Amino acid sequence: MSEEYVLEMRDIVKRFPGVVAVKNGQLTLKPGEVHCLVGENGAGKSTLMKILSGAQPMDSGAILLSGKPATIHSPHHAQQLGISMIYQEFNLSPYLSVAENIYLGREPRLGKSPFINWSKMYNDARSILNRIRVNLDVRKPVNECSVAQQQMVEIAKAISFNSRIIVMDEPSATLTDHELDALFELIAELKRQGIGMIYISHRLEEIFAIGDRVTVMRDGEYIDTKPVSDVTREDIIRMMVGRALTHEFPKEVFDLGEERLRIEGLSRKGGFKDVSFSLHRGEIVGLTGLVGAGRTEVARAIFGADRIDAGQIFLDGKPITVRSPQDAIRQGIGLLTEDRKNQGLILGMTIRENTTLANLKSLVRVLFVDRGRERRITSDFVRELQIKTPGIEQTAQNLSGGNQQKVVLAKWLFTESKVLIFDEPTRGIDVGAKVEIYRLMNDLVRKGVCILMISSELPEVLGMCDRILVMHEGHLAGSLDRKDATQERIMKLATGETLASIA
Amino acid sequence: MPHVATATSGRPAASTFLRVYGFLLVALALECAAFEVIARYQGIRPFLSVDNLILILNQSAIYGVVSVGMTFVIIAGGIDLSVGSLIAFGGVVGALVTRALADAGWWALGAGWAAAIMAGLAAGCFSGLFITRFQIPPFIATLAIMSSVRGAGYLIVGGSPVSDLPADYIFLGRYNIAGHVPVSVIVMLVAFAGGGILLNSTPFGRHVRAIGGGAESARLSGVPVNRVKWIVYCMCSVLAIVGGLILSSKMRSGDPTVGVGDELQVIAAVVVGGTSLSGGRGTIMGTFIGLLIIAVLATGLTWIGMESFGQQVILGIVILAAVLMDRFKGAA
Repeated sequence: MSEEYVLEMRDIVKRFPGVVAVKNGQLTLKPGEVHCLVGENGAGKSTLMKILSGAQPMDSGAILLSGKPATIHSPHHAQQLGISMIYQEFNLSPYLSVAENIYLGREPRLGKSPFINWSKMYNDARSILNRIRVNLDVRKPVNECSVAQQQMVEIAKAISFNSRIIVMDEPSATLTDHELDALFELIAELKRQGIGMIYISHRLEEIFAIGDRVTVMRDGEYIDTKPVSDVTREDIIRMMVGRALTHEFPKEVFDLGEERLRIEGLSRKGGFKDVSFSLHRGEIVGLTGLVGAGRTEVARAIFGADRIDAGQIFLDGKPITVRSPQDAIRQGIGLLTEDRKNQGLILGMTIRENTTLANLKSLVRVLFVDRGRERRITSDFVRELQIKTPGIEQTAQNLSGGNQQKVVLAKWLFTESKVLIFDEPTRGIDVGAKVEIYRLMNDLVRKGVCILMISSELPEVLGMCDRILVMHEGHLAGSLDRKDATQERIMKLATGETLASIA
Repeated sequence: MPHVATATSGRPAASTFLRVYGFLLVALALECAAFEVIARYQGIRPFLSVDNLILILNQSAIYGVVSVGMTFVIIAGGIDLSVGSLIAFGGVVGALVTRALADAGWWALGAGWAAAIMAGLAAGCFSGLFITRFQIPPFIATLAIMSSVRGAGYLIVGGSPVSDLPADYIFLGRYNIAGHVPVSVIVMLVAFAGGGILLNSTPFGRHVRAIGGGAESARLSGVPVNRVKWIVYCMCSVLAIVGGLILSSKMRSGDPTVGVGDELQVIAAVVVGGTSLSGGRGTIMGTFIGLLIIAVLATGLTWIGMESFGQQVILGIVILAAVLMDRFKGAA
């Protein structure tokens, strides 16, 4: 190639215990180029970028900076080599000013004294902001800046390190349209200055707005790199999802019964708007969409964990009010949260105590918990769900992820709920345990429970659900029947297109 | 895996008891033995005797009653700094009401207790309100209550203690049942027994531990987190008031100046007893033994003639040692 690359990543491999996160990562970046990196959740984009930023060591492969092989030891080292990351979560100190944040840890001194040279720091910060044409008071505390301005501060900080490579991970996720325009202008300015940028986004339209080339990853593998001008949106989606179902999904289809849960016009400010759907006996309904589309928020609202601003929930045809999880459980609604460790289990408590926590009152005999019955019930669940543990008095923190998830399941089975919401039920657990959890879902549905399953893993949604609801930016974008659903269609809805354009 | 079969459901109760409390009991026994040896070496009266045991229990009754409430608060992941002020306030309110109704005999005493307990409930409700509804950290909320209640105590008596109390007033603090067993010790033992049953055997106790172990998980499992916290702070305040009633009965006066710093003594007993300040883990029995370890230390050091400044230094060392040992045990 005649052009000189500022960055080349070749044959990158990264393994985690039990899983290969990146199988053959490939990425090249020219000076002044915006290179978009796309793929589904779990495709390996983040891992690849963590390797580039020095946050994770790679197992094999090569990184070349301006043609010279480089080893990146740490995020700090990456910064010195001219590589900066702008994450979704900013690394800013909220009560310090813009200038203090830009020069945090390397403040200019008055001569060789320990005192900060404030006028130099403010002037330098101002000239950096001028260079990227951002108008911002350098003395303003960062917590008084808007999200977009904080992002500008992060970028200014990257520039102050003389970065030649800037990685932006979902920079648009929290911006308004107007702010996004400002970001694109800034990116154009950085391009003119010869800085190469790797741009990660779920919003495909942004690729066509600012991208020069696009690289697609899937299941940790490099798929292809194309000039943006040579591909269509459909091409990119096909490359992102084009795989056969590889896992085992023991789906059983049952006769559809009467309606169990119906929600109408459910809204919560800043979360989701006007969401309506219903669940019937005998079905598993999937709720999917991109991260941040509002799926978990809807589940939490139905469960009473967050307040709703508008809308009504009906259970078995009757309107119900759910003010707290306690209300929801009493009415027969359960939620298996996505975050097992902080929201699902009390890690310091035993399997027995976790199993019965949501329905302790059923074990009360004259004021006291009936320990004997509690032990028997827990032992039954441990046997039935094949929880691997030396005993029911084992604390939850000593169990593996899959077994922890089974304890959470046991807890909800013991509540004998009518409606169960599973939020990412198989995240972070191995394939074997996944299949066991799917089978359990079948058993529940057979008993008349209806299940709403939130998942980002499309194969799982396609494999296990009778109907799939897709959310996009807080709205219900559409509903697909099992027989009509494909990964392409789901991705279309999830990225904000209408089904009509699929044809 | 390092954690091998710790758990079979049919394990004998006695061995569980020893596994959980053995370490604390050994510490307590070693402490008693040390004082006994020193006492003999010095040629003074032997340290270990029934009279001394009752003396120690009697002296720890006030902290004991309060430490039951504090154990619940700390296991629920909180802290209550207002108990020292409430000890003074309880005595003041009890003494004032009893004196005002002195002609009614025993009824006056009952009315005094009832009024003081109502005041304690009110204080606990305030703590609970600020901690649950307004999400103010317990340290700050109860620090504020501590200051206000201390001030209120001074205000209602105008700075000087309430004296001239009827003779019955000493019932809680100085009366002995069957000539030997102080009422205060019985009150304390009832508080410990009740607290132990509440924590170990009721859904409420389970909820308290769940909240301390992970408030969000508990809430999402249907535990009424705010209500439980509220009750816990009310309970702790009321028990502090009971402690105050015992103290004021011992002194036969309602003195607004007492109890300064007692919250730290009580927290010390709870922590030495193995309750984790980060919440979720702890026992009432542990607090009882922790209380005894500190009480034996104070009594024993006095017995062998150490003055109070030296005692404070040693108490500090014992608190650190207890917590370090507990951590060591946890790591083992």
